[in-house]
Amino acid sequence: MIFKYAIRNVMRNRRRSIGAMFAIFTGVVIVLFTQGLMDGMLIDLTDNYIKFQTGNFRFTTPDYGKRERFLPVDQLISDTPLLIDRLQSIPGIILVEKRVRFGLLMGQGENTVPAMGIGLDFKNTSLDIKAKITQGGIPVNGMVIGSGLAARIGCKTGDEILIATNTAEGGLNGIKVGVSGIFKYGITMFDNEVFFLDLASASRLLKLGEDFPEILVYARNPKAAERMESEIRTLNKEGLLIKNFSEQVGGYWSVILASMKILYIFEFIILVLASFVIFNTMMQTIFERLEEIGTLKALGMTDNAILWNFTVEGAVMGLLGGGIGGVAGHLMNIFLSKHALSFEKAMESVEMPMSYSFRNEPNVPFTVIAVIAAAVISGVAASIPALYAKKLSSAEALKKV
Amino acid sequence: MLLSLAFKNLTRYGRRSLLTLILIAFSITVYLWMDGITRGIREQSFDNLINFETGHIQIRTKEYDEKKPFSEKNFLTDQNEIAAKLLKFDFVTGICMRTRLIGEIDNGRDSVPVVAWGIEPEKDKDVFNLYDFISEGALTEGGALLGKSLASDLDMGIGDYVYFTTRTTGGMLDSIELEVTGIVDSADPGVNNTAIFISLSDAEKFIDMKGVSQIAVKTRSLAALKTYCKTISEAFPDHDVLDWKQLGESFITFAETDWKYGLLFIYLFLFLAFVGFANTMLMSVYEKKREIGTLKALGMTDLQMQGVFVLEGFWLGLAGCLTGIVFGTLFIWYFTRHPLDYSKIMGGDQSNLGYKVLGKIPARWSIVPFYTSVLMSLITSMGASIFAARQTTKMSPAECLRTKQ
Repeated sequence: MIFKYAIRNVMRNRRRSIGAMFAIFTGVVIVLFTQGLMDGMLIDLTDNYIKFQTGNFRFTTPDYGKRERFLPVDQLISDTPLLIDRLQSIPGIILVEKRVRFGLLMGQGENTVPAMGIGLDFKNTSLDIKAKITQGGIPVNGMVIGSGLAARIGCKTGDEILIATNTAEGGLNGIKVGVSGIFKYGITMFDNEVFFLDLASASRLLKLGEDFPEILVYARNPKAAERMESEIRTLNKEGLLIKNFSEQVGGYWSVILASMKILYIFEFIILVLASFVIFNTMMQTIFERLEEIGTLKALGMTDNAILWNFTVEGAVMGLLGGGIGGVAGHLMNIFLSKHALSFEKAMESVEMPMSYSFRNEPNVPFTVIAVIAAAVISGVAASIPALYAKKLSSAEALKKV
Repeated sequence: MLLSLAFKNLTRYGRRSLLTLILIAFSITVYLWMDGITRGIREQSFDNLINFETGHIQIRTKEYDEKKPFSEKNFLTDQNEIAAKLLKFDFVTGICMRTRLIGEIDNGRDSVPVVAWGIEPEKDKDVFNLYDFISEGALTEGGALLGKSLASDLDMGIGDYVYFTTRTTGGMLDSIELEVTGIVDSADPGVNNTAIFISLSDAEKFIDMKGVSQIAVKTRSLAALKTYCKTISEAFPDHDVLDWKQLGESFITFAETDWKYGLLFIYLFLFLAFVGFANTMLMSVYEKKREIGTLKALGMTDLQMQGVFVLEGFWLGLAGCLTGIVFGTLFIWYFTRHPLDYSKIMGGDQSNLGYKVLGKIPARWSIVPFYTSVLMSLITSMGASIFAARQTTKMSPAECLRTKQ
């Protein structure tokens, strides 16, 4: 019955109720927009780290872990094929990849720039290279190169480039490789610095043989990765270094998680600020209805019923405003997930695997939580003036009219 | 009279006015706080860019191309004449020559690409701050200064030897052994992570020619840089003369875009305040319908009536803004005294999230966010009040007086 009263009271002064609901609507839309943007950036960053660098798990030698900055190609995992076979037998693992990364100064003609090569199996990789090729194609033997890197060294598909670097045996080696394709991932750091080389050419250049410095393991999703972690770690009989995603990302990850917590606090504050309008509206409503409050109390309505009546009225306004805001905010996030904002120029100096196109991420559970939070916070805001109404005796209420 | 009427209206509903005031005050506090913190990071980054990499102005060859570090066309060969001419300008307070090389440094086991700067040990401090950040040793002929984290990663200390491999202008690969004679612990992660400094004469031996890739200039004032640039350009029409903003264009674009994106959140806060404000003022208008009717019946014009409500909004906006400024100022003051430790936030990681800063970065003051705050809060509050006040023009005195309150 209280709920019915509340709905009826909301409809009594529609213009005022709409004003209050619009504030909650605005608050929820702002919350969903900011959360969608941050979720989008976080998912993009996590996805890129996992695909390019960390996998869900990565096997290396302990010494590789210590010297990773230098991408040491002499730190090979012995019996790489055997370990890969064993890993592939674990249920839930969708891909096991051997890779080698190496740094070098890459040049053509007078142009010379620092670059990073990644040796991988073009047919068996988490990187969807084919979809990112803008010119040429994927080679059987050869390289595909980032669009920015290609522009910086002035090369095009069909060119042959001499690449020289230190080998696993300690000496210097160089090979000529044809550029089969040019890719563009939309990540400045990769497009400007990275090229991919087929495994055979990488092995020939770096004198690796069958063994590789990195084995990346991919699970279907983070939860599946968590489930299989202990089983993966039991495979480590050779004293290898196994790190999951968050162990590898380290400092960055803590910063991102801390930022997300700060964002939640801000979002809560936004809803509290929006609920001030509900407070104001309910305060005015109570003063307007002092006569009714007095009459109802004289007729036997309990103090608690009065309290709940106004509290639910505030919550209903929060639910309606928040509900419409939830739908609008969610639709906006869907739109912004399909129409990304590009910051290519601005992201040139950022040394993180972050796409320069920002996409919002629609999140249904979060939208539902935001709407419920809007209703609860509005109810709490309304309960403060409602407490005032509760404390009034019927005589006091009627005297104040 | 309208002003005092509006002020009186505010105090009639103290609690409602207070809550509306908080909406504005909170937005302004967050804005000032964010501005102070990010201004600190941004301006420290700009300072580091100027003090470690670009100087105020640089003179290079017209054909200079960073992608072609070994091209002969990248090197000035008339550097001494240019330097002599530059010193005649009264606004030039210091000049130095630098040569930029790209190469690999290795400790016999690991190697990594680095930028090697050939510098003039005696003159570099006339333009750059590098010497203030040498934590150990010094730069000598045949020696090298290494960035602190680069040295640490390579497990190198004073007295150890590293190999630096690069190409000569003739295209030949050349490698020399350098003694680590000093460590630089700078406030710029780029310098700490990927830079080595050698003497200019050692760099000349490397490139096998008597030339430098740039002459860096320090001037009397950053504010007059455009004029100085123009004057120097006219004196050296065959060379490129660039100021630090042109040299650090991509970084400046990043910093400014990042700040504009941050401002978006402030605008969203202000929009929320606008909605709350409009709601309060609308309630105020509808509550006072009878009074509006009485005043109109007594001859108050629509414009005067609107004025009362707009002024009510003005007072409330001003009060909210001033409260926000007080809290915002306290926040900025706190963070200037207790700077955020950027390196600690990054978990000791010396990488950067786009900015050129390390260690503790204090918040910085600027007058701009303060007058912007006043402007934004008055626009928000008066805009919302105008919206509400317009409702009074639609009300006839008779209709208002019939209203039961």
